[in-house]
Amino acid sequence: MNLINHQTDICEFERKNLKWMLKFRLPHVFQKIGIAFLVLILLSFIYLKFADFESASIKDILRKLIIVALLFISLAKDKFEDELVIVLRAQSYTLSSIIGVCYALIAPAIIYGITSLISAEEVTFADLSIFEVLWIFLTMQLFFFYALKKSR
Amino acid sequence: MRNRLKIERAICDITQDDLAKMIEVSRQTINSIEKNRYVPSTVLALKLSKVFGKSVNEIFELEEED
Repeated sequence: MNLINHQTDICEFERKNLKWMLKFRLPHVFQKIGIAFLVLILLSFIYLKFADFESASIKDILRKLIIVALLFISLAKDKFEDELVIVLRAQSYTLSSIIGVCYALIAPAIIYGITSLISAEEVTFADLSIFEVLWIFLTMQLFFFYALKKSR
Repeated sequence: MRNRLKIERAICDITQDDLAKMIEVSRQTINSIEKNRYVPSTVLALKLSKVFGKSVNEIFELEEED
């Protein structure tokens, strides 16, 4: 009997936590913060290019900041967060997950194939980096979310 | 699923914007429901039935493909 009660408590705890995670959204202002972040990062990349300053670690940090900025935009509440927006956001995550996985599996093979045909030198097969996968996933999610919203 | 939302709204002389404010959704959501592009949740359907004083079945109707 005690074991059953304990299991029920665990299930209830899991349910509450999952519900909290599913409902978690950042305030709407984070959408603007994310966009401002993206603009600043883009300007930094342009500056680095023209300043002829090559630093792998700075580029790596900027790439990570792009993902953070996109995550801010993705998680920010809409101006009017009603059930239609919640449904459309869920649909956009589903679509971007499917496309993201397919892209991560297929793109390296296509790039390898094309490069092998064009290049005279020996080409090595390389998987996508974590940045590329996350970039595709988040940009696809935002694209589908706004496209679905516009089509309603 | 068919719905009589536009008709009910016209009978009560309520704009999409007014209805949206009454049930705390966006005007876009009301428009999507009226054009059968979005099927509302049970909660929203019950809120709509409360506004028009009619049962959910009187506002929403299943079609053959549903």
